[in-house]
Amino acid sequence: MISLKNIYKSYGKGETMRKVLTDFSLDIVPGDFISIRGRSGCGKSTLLYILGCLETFDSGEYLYKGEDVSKMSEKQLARMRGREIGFVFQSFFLIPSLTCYENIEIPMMYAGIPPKQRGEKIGSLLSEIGMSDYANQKAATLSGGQQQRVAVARALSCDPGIILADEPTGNLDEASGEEVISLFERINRDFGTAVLLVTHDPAIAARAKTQRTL
Amino acid sequence: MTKAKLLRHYIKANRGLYRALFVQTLVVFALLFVVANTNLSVELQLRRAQSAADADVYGIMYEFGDESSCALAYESIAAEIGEESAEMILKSPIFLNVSLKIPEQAELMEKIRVAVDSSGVDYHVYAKNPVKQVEQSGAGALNFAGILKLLLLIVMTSAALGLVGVLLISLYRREYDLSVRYICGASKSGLTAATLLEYFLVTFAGAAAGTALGALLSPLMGSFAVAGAVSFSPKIGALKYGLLVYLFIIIVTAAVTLIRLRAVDMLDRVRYGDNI
Repeated sequence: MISLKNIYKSYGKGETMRKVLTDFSLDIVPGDFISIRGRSGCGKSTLLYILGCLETFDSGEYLYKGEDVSKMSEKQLARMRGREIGFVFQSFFLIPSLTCYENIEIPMMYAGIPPKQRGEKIGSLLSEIGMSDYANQKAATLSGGQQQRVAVARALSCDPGIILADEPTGNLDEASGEEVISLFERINRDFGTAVLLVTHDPAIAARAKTQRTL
Repeated sequence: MTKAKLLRHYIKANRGLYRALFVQTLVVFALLFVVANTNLSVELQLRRAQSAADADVYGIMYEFGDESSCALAYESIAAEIGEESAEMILKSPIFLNVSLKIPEQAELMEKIRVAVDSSGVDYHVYAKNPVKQVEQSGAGALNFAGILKLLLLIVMTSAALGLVGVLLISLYRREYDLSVRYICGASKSGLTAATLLEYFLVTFAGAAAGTALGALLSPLMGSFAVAGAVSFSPKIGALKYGLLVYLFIIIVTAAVTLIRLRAVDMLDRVRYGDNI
């Protein structure tokens, strides 16, 4: 599904240039659950942004379902971010003034999914994350754990092929973190959605089927 | 949620800033319409007065041999066309100044002449210079329009600065939301278009309301003219200045938004862990 070959990425120029990824390759197939660990600044998040079409790379090849991502237009990349990839970040990244329902609905709106279909899907996702009663509650009023669960539901809203999670438990207490990781495991097991998890925590990394260190 | 609903949501969420933007635009366009309409009205009357066919169309001054002749002529005119159509002022017991209240009804001037002739009194007519008449009657309004023009310049300068300020603050505030929408599948050009649409809607509403208010206030400029010799009814021609200013608003808004959003790194908020 995803094939990264010999990816190079650096920031800055001349003496201030900092190489972040050097000759990095990775293959991801449906059903994979990969954790990425590494010291701070080693390029874990950069890798995730490249995979998520949020960041470009200096050289190498990135194929998504056989299609060269580097040749995609801005609109194609946007469509891919919306439909094919689900993002979960450490700081949740929800829109605080919107309700849980509306936050989950945003990617579906950009993907052009009809409202009726959206309603059914959001209902089942909210039920899946145990937050059916919070549908009309503003994101700003939720706890960290609840916000992260809504973020996971939003990531799943367009049935993506892969979920990219950047330190998803970083801002959560142990119990909430466990809930979120269990949710990822369930999604991976039940829907076959690939999960790529960036984490510092060795215990969480060990829960993945494949572990990589940068 | 639809894109229209999202648009409403953001207009509501930024209502403080947008209210300021709306009021600024409203004041600018109201003043603009009044000033443009006043100038246009006086110009129009001057053009009419300058044409030979329109000579003596606004007013006429009669001198009578005695007071009773003057009174007789007065009654005759009032009986012929009614006091509501013309203003009659006795400058002295023997001098009668007659001015049309509605300059467009120039044919009434002929009826006035017939009425005075039919009263059978002797009189002498002082021919009036119609251009001077309009200049004199429009001078008050033009002077007031001049003051408004100065005010308009001040308001327009502060509104232009205000517009840029509102845009920059609003864009800064929405960087987080834009980043979230970008990550959720929106393209940068789509986000720019959606943001611009918000600004255009608010400024267009302000411009439309301001123009309507200006059209309502324009006839009041007649209070500064003598005997209503110049009509200040709203004229379509005054809209062209509004269109030019709105074009300027569109250009400034688009330029500021495009430059600012181009500089926004959608990943900044993700990198630095901006939390709600």
